[in-house]
Amino acid sequence: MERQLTAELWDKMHYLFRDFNDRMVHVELEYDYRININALKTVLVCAFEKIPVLHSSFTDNHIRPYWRVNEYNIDDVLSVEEVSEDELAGAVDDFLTQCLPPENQVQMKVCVFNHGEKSTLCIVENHMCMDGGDFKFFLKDLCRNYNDYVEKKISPIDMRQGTRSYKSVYKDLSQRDKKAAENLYRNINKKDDHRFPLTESQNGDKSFIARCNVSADKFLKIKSEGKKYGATINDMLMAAYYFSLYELAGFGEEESVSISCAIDLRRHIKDMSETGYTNHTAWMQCKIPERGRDIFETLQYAIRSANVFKQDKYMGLYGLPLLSLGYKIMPHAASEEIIKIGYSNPMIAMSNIGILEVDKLALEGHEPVKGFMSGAVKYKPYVLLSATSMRNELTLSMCVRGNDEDKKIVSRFFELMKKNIDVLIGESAE
Amino acid sequence: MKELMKYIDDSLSGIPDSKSFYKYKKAIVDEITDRANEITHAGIDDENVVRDLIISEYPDIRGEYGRLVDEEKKKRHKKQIRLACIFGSIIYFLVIVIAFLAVSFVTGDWAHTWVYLVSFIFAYLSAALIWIVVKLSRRQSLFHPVSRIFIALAVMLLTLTVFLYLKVIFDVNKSWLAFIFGVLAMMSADGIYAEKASERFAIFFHILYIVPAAAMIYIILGSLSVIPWHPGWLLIPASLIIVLLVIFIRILDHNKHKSQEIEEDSEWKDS
Repeated sequence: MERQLTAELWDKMHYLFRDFNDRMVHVELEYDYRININALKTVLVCAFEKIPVLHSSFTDNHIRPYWRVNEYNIDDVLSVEEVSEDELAGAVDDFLTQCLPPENQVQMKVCVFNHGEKSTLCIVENHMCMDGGDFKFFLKDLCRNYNDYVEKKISPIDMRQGTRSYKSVYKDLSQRDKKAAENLYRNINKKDDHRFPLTESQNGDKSFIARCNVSADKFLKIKSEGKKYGATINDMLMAAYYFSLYELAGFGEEESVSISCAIDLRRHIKDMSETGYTNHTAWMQCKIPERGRDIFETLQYAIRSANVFKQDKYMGLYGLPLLSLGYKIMPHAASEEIIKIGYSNPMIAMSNIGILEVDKLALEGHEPVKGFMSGAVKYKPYVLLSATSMRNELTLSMCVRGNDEDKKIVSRFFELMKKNIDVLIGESAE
Repeated sequence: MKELMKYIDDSLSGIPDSKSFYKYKKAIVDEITDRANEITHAGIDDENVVRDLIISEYPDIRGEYGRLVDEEKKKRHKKQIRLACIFGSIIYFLVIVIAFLAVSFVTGDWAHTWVYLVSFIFAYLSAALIWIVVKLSRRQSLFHPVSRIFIALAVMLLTLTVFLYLKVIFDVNKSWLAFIFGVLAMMSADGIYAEKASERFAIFFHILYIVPAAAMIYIILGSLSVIPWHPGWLLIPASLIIVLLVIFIRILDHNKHKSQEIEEDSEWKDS
């Protein structure tokens, strides 16, 4: 008998975003030893069995979409390639920029690139199944299970299971707050037509992931210098993002620009043990009234804008009831059309995915030597800057479907980011 | 597979044989066999892992069987209640009609006995309405307005019964006051329901009902000469004091909750 899973609110929302991005979340972790493939296969199958949405196809039923659970074989999920050091970067990029259609049999692909005595673990997964926040939890659980299996022969079945419903964000609120949050029908995100200056879409556009590393010394300085200004890492990055964008796109200094920043709604959940891997991300639209005379003034604007959201105890919960109502009262096909009209997908966004903890991502005592995680490949003119850190080294990444000219533009943007970060931390050459 | 079968046998040992037990055990064996095949096909060749994975999916086979039996019992119980209600209703109506005819033929007092028949019918209808209200109140607040209409209907039916007894059986002067009292009871019942069901705008209903309720009390007491018509009318403007009191108490209660909220939030932030 066919097994079905409910398509949750965020599954449907990310499906709706198919016009804006390829819905893939990417991770790359490099280990200085060769991963035990047989063990990894067992661990992955167990993870897939515990998280059935990973081997399900999204069925776009016009009335009520759902996930159909499929039979699969680990070879559909995991591939192993032997590559030389020279070929590695290209092979990794080719793997990471693939797109898994929602109708696919499996929603996650894993590849281990063996090069010399090292292994690079790359994973792509459908954002409809889980967001970056839960993907990090998933990776940590995967590594812990792998270690327990290899070192202690414990069956790798300890994965979080539970509801994937968006309503988990309400479960730990007080009765009164819950009632209030469930009535936040207001959509607080406004449309902003400012665009990242990429070229127009063309037929030959290809997905690419541009990365930029900021050294551990500088990253620590971002933290410490930020404190002096009352700014978080996010605020500092946001200020550099704004300043770089004004310069790159040639926005007028007096223009008000907004950048949407991803909010992890798990901040509202005290106990995650009964929550399955899913999406719990919303946007806070940070808006600055003008560029500011210098980057420090931009920083103050960014802090002020973020604080407006942070001081709100219902941060990120606005609009959820409206989306839910939209999907509830109408057939899926109709609700998609209505939501498309009302929902403004941010043109310029940032996702602070955060720290990739090497100790928790270690395999058989080998911590990853480098790695990063990034959000979906955005279709022009939409862009998303992802930020992750590992061993205090910051990786900024931008996944774009574009051409060589776009690669140059993004590369120029990263140069500006680096320059502006240097100014913020007082390391500017000027 | 042997180990999994042993796990099933051990888990279900000591349960007396029955048709439902046999059906359940067979279904579990089939499910677990299918799962083992699926997992092996997916690519696990370590039997221990297959066993542990399946056991983690079926951690409490015995408890599950217990729940299944309980559910079946509940279903049977529900069915019995439904049948009892249907047959009980038929018997109830037969009894009251036969009783009505017997009493009427024996006494020949047809002018009064119909009231007994009607009152028993109204009592039945009121009980049915209250039963529906209880059922609807357990559902979403969307059904609460319907519940409130049904409560009003039930109260009105009971009022009508009281009126008929007063007027036809006891020939009480001013029996019409029963209707005024009925409206008062209807508003009170509605206010209590709104409060108990945590209706969002319960406070507005309380405020809205207080002044008309005072007017009803004034008419009842005035008609029964308990209070003089003048200055008894002062009861109506005096009810405004109760309105203000209700608003004041509600504000106090709201502020109390608000201060508790802030405390909860700060605790949450610390953790």
